[in-house]
Amino acid sequence: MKDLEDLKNKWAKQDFSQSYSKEEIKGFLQKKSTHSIKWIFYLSIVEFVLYLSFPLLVPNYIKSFDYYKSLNLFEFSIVTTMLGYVLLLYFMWHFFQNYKKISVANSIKDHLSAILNTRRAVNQYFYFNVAILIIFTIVVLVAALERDKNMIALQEENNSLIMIIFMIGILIAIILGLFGLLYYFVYGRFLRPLKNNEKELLRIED
Amino acid sequence: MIPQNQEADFITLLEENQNIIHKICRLYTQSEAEHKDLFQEISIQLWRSFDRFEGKSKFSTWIYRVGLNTAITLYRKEKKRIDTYTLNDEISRIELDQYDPVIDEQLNWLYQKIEKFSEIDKALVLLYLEDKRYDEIADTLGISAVNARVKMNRIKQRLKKMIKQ
Repeated sequence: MKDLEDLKNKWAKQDFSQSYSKEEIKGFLQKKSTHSIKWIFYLSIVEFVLYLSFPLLVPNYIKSFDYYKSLNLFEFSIVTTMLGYVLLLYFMWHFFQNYKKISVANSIKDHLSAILNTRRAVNQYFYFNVAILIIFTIVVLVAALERDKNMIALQEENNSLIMIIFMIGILIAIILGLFGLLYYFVYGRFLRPLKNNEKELLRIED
Repeated sequence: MIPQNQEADFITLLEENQNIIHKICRLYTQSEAEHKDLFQEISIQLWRSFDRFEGKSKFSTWIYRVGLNTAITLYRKEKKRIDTYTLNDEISRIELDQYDPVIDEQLNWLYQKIEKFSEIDKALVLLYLEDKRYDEIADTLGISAVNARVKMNRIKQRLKKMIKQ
């Protein structure tokens, strides 16, 4: 008796025991939405603000430019700093453009894509920032090894150089690890199912 | 400021079409409490985007789109009760057995069978059983008509196979 047409007919006629009155529906509309796009948005904004205020959080940030000057890296440090802010502005603009496109009135695919693209803008900015940070650290380190008297002295001690490089490597790995955990638990949990849904939707069946 | 009559019109439309939302809620939730939560969320989302509803499509078509988008992308239920098979699962199984807003036995059987389907496949089942046209399905999902046709054929075969077992 479980035939597909039979099932379709029953599906069309099904009644639900919970049926809401107009008053109840009106009450629902007064309630606050509990959906999660908003907090993704706010967390992203917090991230951007943190990147923007990064110099204020680092002690002696301005003075560090004097040190770069002593290494003949003043122009390089200015250019990379500016590049960081240009990228920040670009990705923030990109983020808001995508956020504006999010609407439940879109098709499911467009809705999924808009949410994922919004978050992708923040992630891409993070990757660019990490790349700049790594390149900057390597360039400063190489210059310091050649021109900083303290570093030159350290090189003469046994294994000190390797220790310094090792410590810097560990520090960068810890920072990346912490961000990785944040991305995995905070965003991954929410975004992974959406990404899978988008993939499944677009997959052309055999 | 939203005119009073616009809200009243909306509530009337929603009350008349609430069965579609109940079907979506029954497909995507595991308990009556979650069902009510999702119903509420879909109502809020429909109301918030009501100014984008131009009346070109039927209100029911509009509900599929907003309802499915809400269920798939905005609504995140606690996954643990269906992801792990432990003592908790036994408890949730009892809860699920009691979650029986649909009177018909065959429909309950169907809902329980498709409980483990992916979120996208649940949407396909809904649109298939609602007898929607391929262009409407493609439009709701945001995929090509050809892809929609192929996906619907696959889901139809899957349902047929399930019935035979």
